[in-house]
Amino acid sequence: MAKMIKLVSGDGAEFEVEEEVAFQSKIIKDIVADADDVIPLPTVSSKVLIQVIEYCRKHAAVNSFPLSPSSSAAAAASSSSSISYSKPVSDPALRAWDNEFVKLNNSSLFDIVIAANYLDIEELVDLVLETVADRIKGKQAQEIRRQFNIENDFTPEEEEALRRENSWAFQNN
Amino acid sequence: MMMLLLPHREEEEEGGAAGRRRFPINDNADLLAEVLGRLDGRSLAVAGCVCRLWSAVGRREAVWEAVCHRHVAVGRAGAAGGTRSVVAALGGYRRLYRLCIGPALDRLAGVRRQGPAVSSAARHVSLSLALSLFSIDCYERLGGVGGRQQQPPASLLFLCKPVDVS
Repeated sequence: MAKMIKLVSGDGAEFEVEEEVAFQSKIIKDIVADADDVIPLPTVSSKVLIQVIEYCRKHAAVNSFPLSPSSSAAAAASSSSSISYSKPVSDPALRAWDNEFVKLNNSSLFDIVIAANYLDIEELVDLVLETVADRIKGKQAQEIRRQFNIENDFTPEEEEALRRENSWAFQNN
Repeated sequence: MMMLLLPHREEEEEGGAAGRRRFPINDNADLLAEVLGRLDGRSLAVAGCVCRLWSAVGRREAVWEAVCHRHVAVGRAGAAGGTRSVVAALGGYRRLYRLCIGPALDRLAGVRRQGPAVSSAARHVSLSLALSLFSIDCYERLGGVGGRQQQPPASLLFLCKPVDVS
C-alpha cells in the first residue's frame, strides 16, 4: 500500500497523493522527512495544485524507471552560471506529453511556474520557462507586448535610441 | 483519489476584455531574468526593447552569461569564478556576445546554409578561435607595451572573416 501524503491548497481543498508523486517537490520531501504528512500550501490555489499534481504524477511514473543518468548529476555539471536549467527530458513520449501539458495561456503558465518554484520542482520550472521563452523568440517588440499584454512605457526618443543600440538584432539573417 | 470537479479549461475563459491581466511575469524580475536567459542573443536584444523592466533585466550580466553558456560549453575547469573574471575584464558577457559570439554564430549559420552541416567539433573550434582573437584584440587595445600610447594596431579580428580553403 503506497504511503499517501495530504496536500491542502490555499482555498482549503485537500488532495491525497502517493508519496513518490509528492516527492517530485523537493520542499515537500524535506517537510515530510521532518514528520508531517499533511502539508498546507496556502499560496497555491486548487486549480494550480491540480495541474502540478498531474505533472508530478506523470513524471514520478517515468522517474521511477530512469533511462538516463540522474538529472542531479547533469545539473551539477552544468551549473556554472547563476541561471540554472535542468537537463532536457530525454524520453520523447514524455517530451510530447510535456508539450501538451504546457498548451495553456500565459497567466496559467505563470501561476504554475510560481507554484513549482515555491515547491522546488526543478523540471517543471524549467519546462514552463522554456515554453515562455519560446513564445518570445523571433518576435518583434510590438508582437511581444501584444501577446503578453505589456504596456510600452518608453518615450519615443528612448525607443528610438534602443532600436539604434540594438540594430544588429533587427537585421534579417 | 481526487474527488473534485475539474476546472474549465483556461482557453475558454480568456474571452472578454475584462479578463486581460497585465503580464504577471513583470511582477517578478528574477523569474523574468530566468525566461530571458533562455532566449537566443537576437531575441534577447529585441526583448530589451519591450518595456523598461525588460530593458533593465535584459541588461543583467547573469542573463547574457546564460545566453553565452548555451552556445559555448564551459568545461568544469572554467566554472564560475574563473570565467566570470576573465569575461568581466573583456567588458562583460553582453559585449562579448554582441562583438564576438553573435557574429561567430552568424558566420557558422551562413556556412551551414552553403554546404554540409558543420560538425559540433568544428563549431567548437570556430567559436574558440573567435573568442581567442577577441581576447587578443581587447588586450592590444589596452594601450601598448611600456606605456606608449600609440594608435591601436589593426584588429586581429580580420582573421575571423571567412576564408575560402576549397
